[in-house]
Amino acid sequence: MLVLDAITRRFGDRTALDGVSLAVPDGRMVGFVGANGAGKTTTMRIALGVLAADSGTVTFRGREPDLAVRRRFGYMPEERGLYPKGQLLDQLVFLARLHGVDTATARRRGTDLLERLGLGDRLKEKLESLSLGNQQRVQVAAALVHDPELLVLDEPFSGLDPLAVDAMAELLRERTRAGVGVLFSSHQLDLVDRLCDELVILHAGRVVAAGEPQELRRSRGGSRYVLEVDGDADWVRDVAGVRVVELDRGRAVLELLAAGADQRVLAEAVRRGAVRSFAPLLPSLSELFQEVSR
Amino acid sequence: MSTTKAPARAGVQRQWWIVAQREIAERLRDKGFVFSTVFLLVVVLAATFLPGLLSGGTDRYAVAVTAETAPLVATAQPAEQDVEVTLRTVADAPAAEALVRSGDVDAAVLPGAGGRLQVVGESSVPGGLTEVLDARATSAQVLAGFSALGVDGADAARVLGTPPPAQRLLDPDAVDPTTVTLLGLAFSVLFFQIVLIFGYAIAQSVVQEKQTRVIELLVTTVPVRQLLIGKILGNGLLALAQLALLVLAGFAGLFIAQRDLLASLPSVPVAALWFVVFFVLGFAMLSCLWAAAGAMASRLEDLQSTATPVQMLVMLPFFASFFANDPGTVQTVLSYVPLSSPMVMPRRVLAGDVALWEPLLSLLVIAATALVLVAVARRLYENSLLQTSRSLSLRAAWRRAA
Repeated sequence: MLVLDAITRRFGDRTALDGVSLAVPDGRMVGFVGANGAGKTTTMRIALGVLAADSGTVTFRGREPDLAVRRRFGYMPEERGLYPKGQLLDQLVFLARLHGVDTATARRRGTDLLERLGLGDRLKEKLESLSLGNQQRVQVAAALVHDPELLVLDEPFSGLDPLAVDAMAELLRERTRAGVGVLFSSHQLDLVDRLCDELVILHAGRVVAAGEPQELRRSRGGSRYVLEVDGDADWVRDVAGVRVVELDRGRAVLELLAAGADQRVLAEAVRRGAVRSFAPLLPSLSELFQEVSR
Repeated sequence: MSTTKAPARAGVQRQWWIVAQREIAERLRDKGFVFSTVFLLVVVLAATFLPGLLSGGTDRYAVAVTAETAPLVATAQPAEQDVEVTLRTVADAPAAEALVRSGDVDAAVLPGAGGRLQVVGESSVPGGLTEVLDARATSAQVLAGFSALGVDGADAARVLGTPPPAQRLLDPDAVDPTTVTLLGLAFSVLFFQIVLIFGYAIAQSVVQEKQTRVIELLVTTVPVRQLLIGKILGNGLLALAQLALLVLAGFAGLFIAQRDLLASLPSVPVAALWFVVFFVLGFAMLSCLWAAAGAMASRLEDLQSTATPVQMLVMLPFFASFFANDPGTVQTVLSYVPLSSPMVMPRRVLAGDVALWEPLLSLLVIAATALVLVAVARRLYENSLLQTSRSLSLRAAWRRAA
């Protein structure tokens, strides 16, 4: 488990991170979201030791990671970084060797990864001859090639087509199944929703929400319910303790103001006819995000 | 807990060597580098081969003569060496001149006004040929004069055949000053060129890693110091290999084409060895500064400005070394100043007027300077490496907290 505890970092007068704490348990995929400038990249850089924190601590499996430990991390920087004129496989072998992998293993892993990512027939090509999406795949391979014990990926999905997203998600799932913790940032909230086991929302240098997405929604969902019945549902206005937020023939969004109101609504609905659905209305991730980022 | 097994960590402690290997591989793939090496090689071989081929061997000349002038220049003289003159007898002066004009002969010997011979050339007459023709004509005319005075022809020929004075050298091993100057110059130019080319390559390699942001990946696994060492070592080894190749090619060229010259310069191999030692230390001293210059730029376009101070540190001593061609106070001083000594001290060794402690002391000065510069450069490098957004001033790069 990677743990960041009360990390603060200033750049001149600006406080980029203000007491950021978060955890990436082994085998879990943690989505990291926040508006531009919220401090995601700074957090990730500090986690990797590329940047120093002004205060706070970073620990991995209970110890402050030194270079030998950080070498077992995989990183995909926000501003991608590989040699444009280098051959794909050569670059991966170079990076893997720097992480302590022997050359033969590095070649094998690099080849495997590139094949998995659909670049198996382009091992000898120069990076710059690839499309941006394909360069991105190589960058992913660069983060994975030394079989890291923790992955920190800054916007790994940006610029990928849906197929590549799936291929990459599968690669990452494989890693988490093997016990690797993954911290990844993204602006594609639906994607984060689909992939992550846990969510951390950063706003202006502070963590404003953290936990499993479903839990977060429930806790932020308030008391709204959706009712769907056959026929018109405007009778619902007359049920005590209920405020109608939205009504569209058989579908109503309700806010329950009093305890037991949900059961009264349901009983009345069943009495009147067929009930298709009655469930709490959970906010979408983007609604949640907007709420906490206000 | 992770179930992944940690892979073998062999080699992690030698990351600088992995970095150096990549530097070397990348440079060897660079067509410009390969081409320039081949070009330099050709220049060195040409410089050593051609003079030997041109000056060695026999010079052949063709000369047009008339029936009247032929006897005057027909007899070869004892002093003639490595010259072969072929005479072509033609009917008259216009015919001889036509041959000169067409370039079929190098000159013509024709009768002139008042019995004085004329050597006719097109725009000039080769110096060696003039000498030969003058001597032959003079000898023939002297013989004719003696004969007119009644001296027996054989006696006259014997007198004229007295061999010219022989040379006896008191210090035949002393190096010819011209050779010292030329070789010294060659040392300077080699050092200057290679340091400039490979230094710039180091700076470019550093700034490229910044510009492409590879650096952010690298620093998560390689200590900055190892990265710096690897870059300098990789390029330094290539520079040394190129230098060795050129020096060896030079020797090989001399050995094949001008063995006499090589044999007459016993201090050259020694001086060349010293030069290589000076080169290694001098390169190490300057290359760190190049790396720092690269780190302070954020894009290749900015490199020109951040590299200018380092370029000056290479160029000014190079030009200063020109003023130190002749032995004297200036040369002695410059042979100890760390930036110019790699170019000047080997020259003094070549001239053979230094004691062993002098180049050693000079090397010590370079080593001490290198230690200081490496420390300075390393700080600039470490502080600037992750500042990818803009170029840094020297002051900013020095001050930034890492």
